[in-house]
Amino acid sequence: MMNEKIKRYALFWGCTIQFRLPWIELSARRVLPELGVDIVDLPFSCCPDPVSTKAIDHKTWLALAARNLTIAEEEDLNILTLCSGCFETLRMAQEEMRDKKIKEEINSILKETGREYNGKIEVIHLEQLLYERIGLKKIEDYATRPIKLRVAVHVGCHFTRPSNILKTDDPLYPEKLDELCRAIGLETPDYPDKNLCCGVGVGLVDRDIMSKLIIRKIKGAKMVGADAIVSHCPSCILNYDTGQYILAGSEMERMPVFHYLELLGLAIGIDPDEFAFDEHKIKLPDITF
Amino acid sequence: MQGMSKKRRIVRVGDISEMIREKEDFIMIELEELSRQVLPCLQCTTCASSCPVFQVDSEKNPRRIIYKLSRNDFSNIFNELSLWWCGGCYSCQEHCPQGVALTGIFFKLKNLAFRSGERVPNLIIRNGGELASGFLIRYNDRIKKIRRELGLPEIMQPSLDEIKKILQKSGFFDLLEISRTLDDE
Repeated sequence: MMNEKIKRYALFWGCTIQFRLPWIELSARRVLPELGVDIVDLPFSCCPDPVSTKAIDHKTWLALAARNLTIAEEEDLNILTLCSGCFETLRMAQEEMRDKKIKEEINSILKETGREYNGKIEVIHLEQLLYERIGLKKIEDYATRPIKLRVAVHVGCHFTRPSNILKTDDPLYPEKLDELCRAIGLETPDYPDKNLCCGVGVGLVDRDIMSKLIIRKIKGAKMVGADAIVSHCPSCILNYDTGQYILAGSEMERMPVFHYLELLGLAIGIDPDEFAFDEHKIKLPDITF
Repeated sequence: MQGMSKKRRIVRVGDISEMIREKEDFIMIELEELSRQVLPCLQCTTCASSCPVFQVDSEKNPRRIIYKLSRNDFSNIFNELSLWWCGGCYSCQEHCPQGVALTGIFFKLKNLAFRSGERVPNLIIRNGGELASGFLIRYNDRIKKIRRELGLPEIMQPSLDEIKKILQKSGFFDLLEISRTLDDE
């Protein structure tokens, strides 16, 4: 249908999508080619994650990220990532290694593997691909079946922050994902705690606080009559979808969670049977076009 | 290089205490550097009010760490709860009107805690241990089955040999070895 080639990308899936939420991978493999994107799979390791690995040792975190970057460099491919955590790690590593001394130090570690980081490739996030490379206008044109849902847009922390390095959207009031949602017919009301962290990071040490953050988020979304949460961060989606499912006995009504690509896929005319909606823990609402 | 031939070093008890002292000095120098970084802080409390964790549990206050650093008070700094309850969301850092890079400082403190053999959260050590397998999650039969049913390809496996070499060279395995968990207390 829309076969204007945008580009080939090495797709950096990350641990959360590949192991915990493969239905997001399925959506991406189905939807991205329709937008003219060729996906190349490469043997990347964990990015590594910007919360726990970085807490243990900064240098190791940088070296493993650099190794992943060299794998794409070898193929002369830019990286496209669907995970905000992987995006933050890879982008921050690139920025830090612009400092020659740091690059040399990391390369002296990589030398053990016969690799060398050169800083030749680019790393972009799915939202940047959609918003900056493909563009709102085209997304709107492709969306021949606009979706009538009222959604609470959730961007999460790691796609925008730290903003001095990531430079993606306003770190305190991001709106580009809202615009992408409106381009496919969705209603995107503002809501209390819209920019609240999902809590997956603190979940490493405290499930109780994590649950409180999930409940606050859902309350805010309910308050404005949202039908569902829409996000593009796998960790946030995992935390909201599975998190609510686990919070048995809580008084709140459950709020379903979509990945943006699922709704985009439906809007551009892909058959609902081609997605894995059954894999969501929280039952999804009926969708009218 | 010539003249740099390896000398076998005999480690004596005196040397070990010297090594410990060197390490302690290193930690102290790093902490003093962090103290300098928080000098612009006016204790306005914006960091605390923007912290998602503080918003639901006021025991975990990131401002306390910054306050201690600003006063060169390093006592129990690695035991401050908000340090380990920090999920690295960068909210405080983005909101800080004085431009203090709080989240970066917290990560630095966490790294120093690992180097000093201080008590750290169990799950962070666990995730660190998993890295040698290439991912944070094990590729088990259940995951393989779900992926197969969805028609997805096998997950491509990275070179574990390379990853282990990196973890060895960077000293990561040594850090995990000396780590002690908070949960033991």
